[in-house]
Amino acid sequence: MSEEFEQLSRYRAGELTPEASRALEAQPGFAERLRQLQSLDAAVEALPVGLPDPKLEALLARVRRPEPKRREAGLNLRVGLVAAAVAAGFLGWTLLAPDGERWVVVPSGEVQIDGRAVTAPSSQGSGQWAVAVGPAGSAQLVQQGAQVLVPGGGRLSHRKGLSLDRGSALVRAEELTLRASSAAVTVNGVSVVSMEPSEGVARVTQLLSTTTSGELMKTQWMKLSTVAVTAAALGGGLTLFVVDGHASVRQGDGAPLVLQAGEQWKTGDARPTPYRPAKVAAAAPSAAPGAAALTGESTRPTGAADLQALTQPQLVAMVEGLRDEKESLLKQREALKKKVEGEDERPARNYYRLAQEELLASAKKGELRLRGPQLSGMETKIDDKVRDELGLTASEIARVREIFEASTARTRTGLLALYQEIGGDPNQASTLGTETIFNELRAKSLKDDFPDSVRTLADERAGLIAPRDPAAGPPVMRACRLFIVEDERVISELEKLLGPRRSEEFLNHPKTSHNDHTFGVGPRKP
Amino acid sequence: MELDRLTVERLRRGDRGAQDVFLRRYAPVLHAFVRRAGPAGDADDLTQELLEKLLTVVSRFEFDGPAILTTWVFTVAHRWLLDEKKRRHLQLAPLDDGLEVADGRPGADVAVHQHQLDAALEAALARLPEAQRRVFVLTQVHGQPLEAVAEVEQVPVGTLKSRLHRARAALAVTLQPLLAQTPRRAGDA
Repeated sequence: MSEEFEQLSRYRAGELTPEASRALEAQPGFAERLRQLQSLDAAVEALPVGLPDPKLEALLARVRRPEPKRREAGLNLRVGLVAAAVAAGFLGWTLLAPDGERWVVVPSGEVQIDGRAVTAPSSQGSGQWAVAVGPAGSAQLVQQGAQVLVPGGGRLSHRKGLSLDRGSALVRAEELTLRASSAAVTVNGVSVVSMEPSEGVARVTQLLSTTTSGELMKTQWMKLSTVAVTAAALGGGLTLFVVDGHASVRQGDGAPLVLQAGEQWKTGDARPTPYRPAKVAAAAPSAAPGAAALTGESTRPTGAADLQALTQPQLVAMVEGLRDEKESLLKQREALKKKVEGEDERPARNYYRLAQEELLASAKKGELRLRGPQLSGMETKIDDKVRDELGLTASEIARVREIFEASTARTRTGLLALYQEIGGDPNQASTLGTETIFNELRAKSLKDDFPDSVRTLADERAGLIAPRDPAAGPPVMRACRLFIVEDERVISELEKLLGPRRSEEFLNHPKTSHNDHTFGVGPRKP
Repeated sequence: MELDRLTVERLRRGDRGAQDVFLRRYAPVLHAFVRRAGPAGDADDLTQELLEKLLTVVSRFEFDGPAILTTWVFTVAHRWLLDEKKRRHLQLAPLDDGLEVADGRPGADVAVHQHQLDAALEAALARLPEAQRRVFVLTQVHGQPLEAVAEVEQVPVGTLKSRLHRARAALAVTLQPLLAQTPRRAGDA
């Protein structure tokens, strides 16, 4: 019985040879089984795909939104660059990331795992192990949804989770908890966790500020030579920088402190502060006592008394740092300005008559833009702004609606006829939306019919081939042709009503909604 | 109905209003998709995760690209479901080819109302082998193009069509007692 229905399903899809079709039609009970299959398809079509309002609202209330992208601030630009660089740097290894608790450790240079030098990637389980990175090495630890980059001098150990024992770690994770000192840091996004002494921290912040490209960032990060031994000797505390997303830090049984992107926190701080890296420390490494204070904008010396407390080298370094920072911000502003101007210059999509070059470009890509009428059957809305700017009268608005509605009706009639042609039940079709009928025509077409139709019609429109007989071709091709014809007809009728200029303004107005389907199947294979 | 270019652009930039429009448009259909094609029991949680994932990656959607937004959304959802399955090591459906015939429970011989058929259909769908169910739901319930589904499944379109025919046949066999009693309409043979 199953095989009979399977054959019948192929028969309805037009996949059987004429001989096989005739043989099937001759079988006893053919008509009844066909009717049953049609009833089944009707029942499938009628399956609900909505949600009751209260349930929808409850679901939407649970959905967490990503942080909005801010584009104007220099700091955010830096954050974006660092995040992009981290993403790019880890991309390849992410593909190799194992599931669950296992980590892949990717060594570069001098790296030891449990005291043994390693030169090739290795998988580490959920037990105890430790990764120590030599001064000129680096290590990447990758797991599903988490990457940790440890530059030279760093040491990470694993026992029921990762701990940063010394140095710094750049963490990119959906949610990863890393122990450092006596604190637990949970990273959602990109953060730098550092156990460096103050001058090391200054170098981290300098790195965050001066990065201009992914490769540079990666290189600089790899070269960031931490002074691990010195750090241990000096008892460098924990410092956390949140580059993207957010992170929290919990000490002992205390409440977690949440940091957002652009904030830093170090052991002893009561609350996070914004970070604005300074270059002073790198320029004046001897100024260790004051260097840490210069790494945060909130602690930058501004008053005369503050300045008097600085030594000559510190003052020179600070001025140089400020000058560099100014130049960097000016460059960023210029780059942003160019980007915005570039976006403004980008042509908006044309919803009026497609120009020849647009048609040729579509044909080249094997693409068909079908704008057509509103398939959804919803009322055509004309925004007040469109009405006011174009000076549309009430009678013009009514007529525009009539044009679209008539086009919608013609399209539905045409698609219904094609649907019946492929064996669709007209009674069943009456319950289907117009878009569903079109999708049915697509889904039930033969393997190459749809891509062939798209390419042929795109070529026709661009004048690359002679127009074919509109009544010829498979149903899905004629369905697409129907949209093209309606597209032209709607524009012509609008032009008669509003004139060419106002029609173009109407169709290309940003507030005019469109039913725009672009089908791209790629160019023909040679 | 597809979102217009402006809304999509705003969505890509993380505009909250556009996110609302997007979520209201796609949450119901994705919930239906996850409920039928995903693991049983936690459709709400899974849909929430899927919507969050979509909001995160929607900036990659190109309005002028080859796919319309709905196809793109379902392609992401489809891939996500496959990844989710791997991650959870799901045991979804019995691989019994779904050929069991519906039992002759009392009342099956009386006129069948639509909601009875719907309920039986949902149950029969849930018994389909997982791969058949996934592609059947995507293409037949949500109208997704065969090419897009085949690409994610990493099978030729012909293979996908065979799965669909087998799924349809399995459903027809399972539901035959009910389908046989559906009222004939004027013009039916």
